[in-house]
Amino acid sequence: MQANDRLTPTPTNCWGLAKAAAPTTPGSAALLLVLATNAACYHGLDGGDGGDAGLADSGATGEETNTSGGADDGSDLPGAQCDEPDVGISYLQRITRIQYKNAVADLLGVDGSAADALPADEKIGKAFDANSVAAVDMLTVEAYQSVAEELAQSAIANIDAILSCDVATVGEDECAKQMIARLGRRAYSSRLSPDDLDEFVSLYAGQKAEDGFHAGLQIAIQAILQSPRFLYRVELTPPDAGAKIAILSDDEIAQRLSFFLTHSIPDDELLSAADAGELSDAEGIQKQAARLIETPRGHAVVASFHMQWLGLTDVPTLVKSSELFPEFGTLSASAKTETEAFIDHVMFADDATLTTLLTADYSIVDDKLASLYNVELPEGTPAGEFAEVTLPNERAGILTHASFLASHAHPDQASPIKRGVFVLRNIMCAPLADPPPNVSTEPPEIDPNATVRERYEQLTSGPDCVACHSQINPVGYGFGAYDAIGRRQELELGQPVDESGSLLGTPFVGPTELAGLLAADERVDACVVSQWFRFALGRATAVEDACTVDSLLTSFRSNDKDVKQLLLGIATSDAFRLRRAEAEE
Amino acid sequence: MKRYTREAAHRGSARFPRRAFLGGLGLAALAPFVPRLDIEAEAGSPMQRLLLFYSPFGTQYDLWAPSGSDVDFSFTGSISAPLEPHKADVVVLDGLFNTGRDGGVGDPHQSSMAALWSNSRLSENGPFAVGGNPDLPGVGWGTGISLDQYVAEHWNARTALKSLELAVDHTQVNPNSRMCYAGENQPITPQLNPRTAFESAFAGVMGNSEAFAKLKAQRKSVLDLTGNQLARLQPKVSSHDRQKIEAHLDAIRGIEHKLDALVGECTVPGTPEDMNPNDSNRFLDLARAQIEVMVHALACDLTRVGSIQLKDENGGYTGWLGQSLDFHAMSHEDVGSPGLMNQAYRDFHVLFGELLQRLRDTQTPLGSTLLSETLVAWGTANANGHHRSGKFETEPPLPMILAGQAGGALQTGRVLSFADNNRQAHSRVLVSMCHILGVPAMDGDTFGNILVGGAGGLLGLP
Repeated sequence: MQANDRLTPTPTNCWGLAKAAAPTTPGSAALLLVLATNAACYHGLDGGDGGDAGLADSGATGEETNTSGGADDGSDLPGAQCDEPDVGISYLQRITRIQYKNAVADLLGVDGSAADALPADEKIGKAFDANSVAAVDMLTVEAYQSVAEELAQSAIANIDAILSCDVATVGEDECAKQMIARLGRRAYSSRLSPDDLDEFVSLYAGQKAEDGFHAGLQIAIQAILQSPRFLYRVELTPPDAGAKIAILSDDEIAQRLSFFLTHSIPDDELLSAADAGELSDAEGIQKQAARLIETPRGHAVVASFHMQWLGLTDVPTLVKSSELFPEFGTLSASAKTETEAFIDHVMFADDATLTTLLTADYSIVDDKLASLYNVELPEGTPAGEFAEVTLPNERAGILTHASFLASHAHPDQASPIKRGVFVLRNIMCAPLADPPPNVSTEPPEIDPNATVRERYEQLTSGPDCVACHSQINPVGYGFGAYDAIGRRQELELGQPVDESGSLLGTPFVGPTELAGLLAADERVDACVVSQWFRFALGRATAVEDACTVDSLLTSFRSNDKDVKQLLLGIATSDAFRLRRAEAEE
Repeated sequence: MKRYTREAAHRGSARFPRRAFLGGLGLAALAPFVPRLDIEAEAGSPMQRLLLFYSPFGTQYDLWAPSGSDVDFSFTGSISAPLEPHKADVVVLDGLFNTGRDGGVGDPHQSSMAALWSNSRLSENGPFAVGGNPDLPGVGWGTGISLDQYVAEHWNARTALKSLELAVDHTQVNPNSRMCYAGENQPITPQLNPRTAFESAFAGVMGNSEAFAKLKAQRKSVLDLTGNQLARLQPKVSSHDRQKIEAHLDAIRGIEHKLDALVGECTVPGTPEDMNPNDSNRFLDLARAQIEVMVHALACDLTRVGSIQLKDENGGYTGWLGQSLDFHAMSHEDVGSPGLMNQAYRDFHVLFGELLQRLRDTQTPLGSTLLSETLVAWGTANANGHHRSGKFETEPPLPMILAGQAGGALQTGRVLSFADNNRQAHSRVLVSMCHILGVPAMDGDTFGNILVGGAGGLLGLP
């Protein structure tokens, strides 16, 4: 749906290059070096000032992926010096809708679905929810107001569970004050300032005088939910005099940890750790991070990352031709469940590695998917229940799930281009440029006398197309046996489907071999690390983050690409524990 | 921190301190509503209002362009035919281009949408992917205030709402989906749900009751507290983040002001049906419900500045046409058929015609109609569905229509056309709209930060 038709004067390239000042990691820089050797497919961003020919030239001499310690070819790539801890600037972030929803549920024990009425979130790089740029407008603030009113009303229905003191013993006002202080501590991830506490208490008291105790509590809860300290992830610890980088306080670390790993406010145990000063060192942070990942919210966050990264958030509402794929209407919900269950299994019951995500020979399916995949469910599995099955040799890992194959296809036919582009861009972080102007990007008409490959070859054989599509299409052709809903077709026009493809020059046959190549590809490692980094920090990677990302990548590889270890690594990294308050001049 | 202190001083029996010129009319003449005219500015200056209208993906020019001469024309094309009964009240602008398509960052949907009413570029290096690639610099939000907000600031009418932004069936958080901006990086989210829009706009005028007074008092006390917290936070955050806090404070001031100002009464429309605001099958119903909310909000003088955004540059789905297809893909003729697309274009004209009719049918206290006091401007971001063809110079002209007499400042019933070799920047229309509305344009008689259109209004306007 998103427009791919960017207006560009005359790009004949495939690989747009990030500007020098733009987010770049050593990994992606290294990727650029490698891609730059594909001469026909490279030049800088169009538009005059965007390209960086110097970098391209120096890159053309690099013949091997350089992934540790920055560039060794003498260029001024970021990451060359890692003596001093450094970190990119982080702007004030407003919490996302899912974070708000989780937070109110955790804070008040209420169902947070009222938060569905909040406006949608911004996204980083089109993938991950984060509100880091736009300021709020009146509609958003009014939505916070009405949602807070609704939630406070639900909270009052269950107020005894929220009050932690006995009114009869300590009195209403003292009990209210304790509630405010306690809710505030969690909602803010820090203790209320005396000003804030006084104002909440007097708001409570004023309303109580008019309408009674519960009305007073209700308005205090409303106000806490509309407080900027709740709606924004505020970090105020200043740098030392003369320094630009601040070391986050324990409370601020607790806030980052909980929003990263649980999409919610800190729980009591995390706050206790912060109070005890246990989040000032990597060991303490690691301990809490390891605990949070294992909570139900931690599981949900891991699933959410993968669904967003792989472009699968819209699976339940995908539209397919009802004539060609009448079964898809009920299949889409199953497809989403399969992928979420599979991710959860790999990450929490299997070895948690990227390799297994990409190459597992099993999945978790129900009867509808079993029939689509042509596999047998364990005997006695009831209809609609999910169970683990061994996949046929032709399928492996997450890229052969129906959710993935259907998401990256047209309503009526598969799309080698969509699949190829997605693998290159999202799995390999290849900076693939947009289609040039003056070309049609419509899919070829379905032709009963030509194979998909023939039709796409014909479509993209023009001189303006071939430079890029000679890279894109061969990746997508490897998925050639899988139709628009992810069903395998052995024959096409009476002949066995040609599943041969090529990943940037390395030949393979079928998605199973492709998954193997990707799992062994250093560029994929670098891409996954940088995607998780963005997701964790809620911002793009900056030049100043190069050392952090580089060191995360080194650890990721030495840990057999264990994704859970990567998350712990991010949580204890410089970028996570430090803050640059003002942009570099 | 600037605060609105104006209290609801004119409650009770003397609800509406009336101006002398109203005295002779009597209440009966004011039917069907009793507007809040207490805040009217100096007598003698005509009342003006501004209403922006938007639909996506341009048009099919051959079926849109009027035939005949510039003063004696007809909407003979199948797409624009629904406007034939309204031609005396419109000015057709034929021969424009959207300045947002002429250079700058972002794809044609993003850059043209941001520029439509602001003539401003997108900011570079933002979170929104261009072409879906997270490893290239993305683009940010628009960098300039839009005309509606600019006019609202200049008029500074102390209406309950500074402005009212409504949208119909599909928006998303992306520059390709926002046309109103309070300023750089301050896109305004339009309200998609007619029921919510209605409740938010008319809550005060509906219930001047005790319950509403109580709710209002509670809201104000919470907003006061939140405002204090923001004000304490502001000096502690980085210079960049201060702007975000300031925008939040502005929003709070706006809500407080609205609560204060909602003291009148007027003829309130029926509560709109509760519809799923993203149900493209109900697109026409949703649009009509939003038109009702807007017309009544103008009639009740809850605001003088509004906008109605039909879908966005992403487009959502086309359920109301009988097939639920990806609308953006259909605009490119990837799915559906040209006939179906033209039906969509025609439906946008049907809705615009209905809007004009509703404005014409609504009497104002000054004895004229809403349409004669309003400047309505219909814009679309791209000329047609083939906007990916790159060179926008080779595309047909950007269709644009002004309507209403803007309190006598605009002479309608004509076509202003410019030859293909003399295409005019749409930014000049924005400058002309400032002139029509009695608001000074920006420095050197320009509007926005895209320079390609040069200074001054569009030749022939007003």
